[in-house]
Amino acid sequence: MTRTGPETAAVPPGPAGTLRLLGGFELRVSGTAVTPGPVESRIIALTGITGRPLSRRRLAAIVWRHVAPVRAAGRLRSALYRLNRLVPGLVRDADGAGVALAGGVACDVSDLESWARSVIDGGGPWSEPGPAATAVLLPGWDDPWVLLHRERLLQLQLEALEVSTLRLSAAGRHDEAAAAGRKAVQLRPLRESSRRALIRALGAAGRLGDAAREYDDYREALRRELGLAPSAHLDKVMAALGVLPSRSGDAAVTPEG
Amino acid sequence: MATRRPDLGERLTHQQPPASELQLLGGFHLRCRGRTAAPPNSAQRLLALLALHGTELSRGFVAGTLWLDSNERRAAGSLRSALWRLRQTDPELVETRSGSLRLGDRVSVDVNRLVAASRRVRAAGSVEELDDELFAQDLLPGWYEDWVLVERERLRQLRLDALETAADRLIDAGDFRAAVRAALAAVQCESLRESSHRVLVRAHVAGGNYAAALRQYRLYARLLRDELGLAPSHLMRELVAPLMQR
Repeated sequence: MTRTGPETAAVPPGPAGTLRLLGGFELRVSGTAVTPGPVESRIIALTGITGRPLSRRRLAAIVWRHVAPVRAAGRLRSALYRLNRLVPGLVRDADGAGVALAGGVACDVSDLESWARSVIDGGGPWSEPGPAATAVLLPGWDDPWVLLHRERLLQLQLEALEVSTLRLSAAGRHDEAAAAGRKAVQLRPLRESSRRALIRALGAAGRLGDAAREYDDYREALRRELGLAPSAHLDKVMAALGVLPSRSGDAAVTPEG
Repeated sequence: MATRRPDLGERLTHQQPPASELQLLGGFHLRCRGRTAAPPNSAQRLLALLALHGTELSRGFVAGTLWLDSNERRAAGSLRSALWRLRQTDPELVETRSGSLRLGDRVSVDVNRLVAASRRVRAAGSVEELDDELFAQDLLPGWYEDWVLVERERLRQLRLDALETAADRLIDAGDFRAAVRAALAAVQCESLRESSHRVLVRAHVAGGNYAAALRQYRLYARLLRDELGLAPSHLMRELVAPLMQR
């Protein structure tokens, strides 16, 4: 069954434009930059990130979390009014259908999500990941919903980078694999699964010295920052490379990690 | 992603494909025989109520639920006109019997698929049932009647249970990445629910990503403190204690 998207309803398409949320907020409508106020920006960003209609009540509760529902609903009404005067049709508020971003506005978060999902689901594209793969969602914004989405997207970025590393490595494209793994490691130096993917790619390329150096760097950073030792998953990867002896009898480990 | 499977009821009683598809997750969308239909508001509400109940309902109950503020006679009149509108849209949408109404057999409803998929995840841990689209959307956003709110909350709990169960099973199966994804979907759905954050932290730890586990724990503790002035439970603290030796 093909699901009918919200845009199949008899709603005018609204303006065309681009919404950039990775690396900072930037809205362009018909080629021109638009600068909404802070509250309006939040509503635009939220509808862009979720990519599906939100009920007014939910939207108001997210944006004005310490305000009584009745007053929050009033503030949302006036914000939507201001927004509609700034860019008519940008944020659709069809009666009963919830609040949503106009279908003609492309949001970079949904591009990132579809790239990451197709990589994770095994469909590629197996090319070196672009800048969106390491960009931070709305840097400087510290609303709770931004923190949660930022973390969700970060996990998605890291997972896609790790899968890319392993896939490129398996295809014998060692340099691209190492570059993708390096990106993940730079994004989160203390993340073991990224380090593991990179080490495996280096090992597959025959760069055992580099693999050993990655391991030492990681072990040292983890000890310094958290006082912890690498997990059994990583020990097993190192043992398989023949770089270090396996230090324990941890058996219950998947090679993938 | 997961392809659509027929509901159990559909498989047992009908070989023919559904004549109409009713989508209530993420908003009201109706397709009858392949074409988008847009019945008026009152008819949408009637169809949604019948779809969410699934069983036969008395006319009196339906009229009383949908037209709470009208007197009995006016409510009955409104119901008759909404029914007429639905029959104009497609005669097979509603079955009427003496004094009662029921959703037509050949209408497939996305909510039923969500409920069935959640049950299969809970019962058999069949995580391939985790259809992204099905599990990400709220019931009829923008509708505020009590009968919608109650159902929306019930479906949300169902989704959360299924996602957490799936994350648990995936950890056991050693697929830590998929476990993190399922747990993140649960956290996204309900940002202050500790059981969701806990399974996410567990998934990070199981995959050897200790720093990610700690960051998630601190994010949760911060949200909880800022929003509710509370601290994480002892279950959560025990989970991260081994990571906080220093």
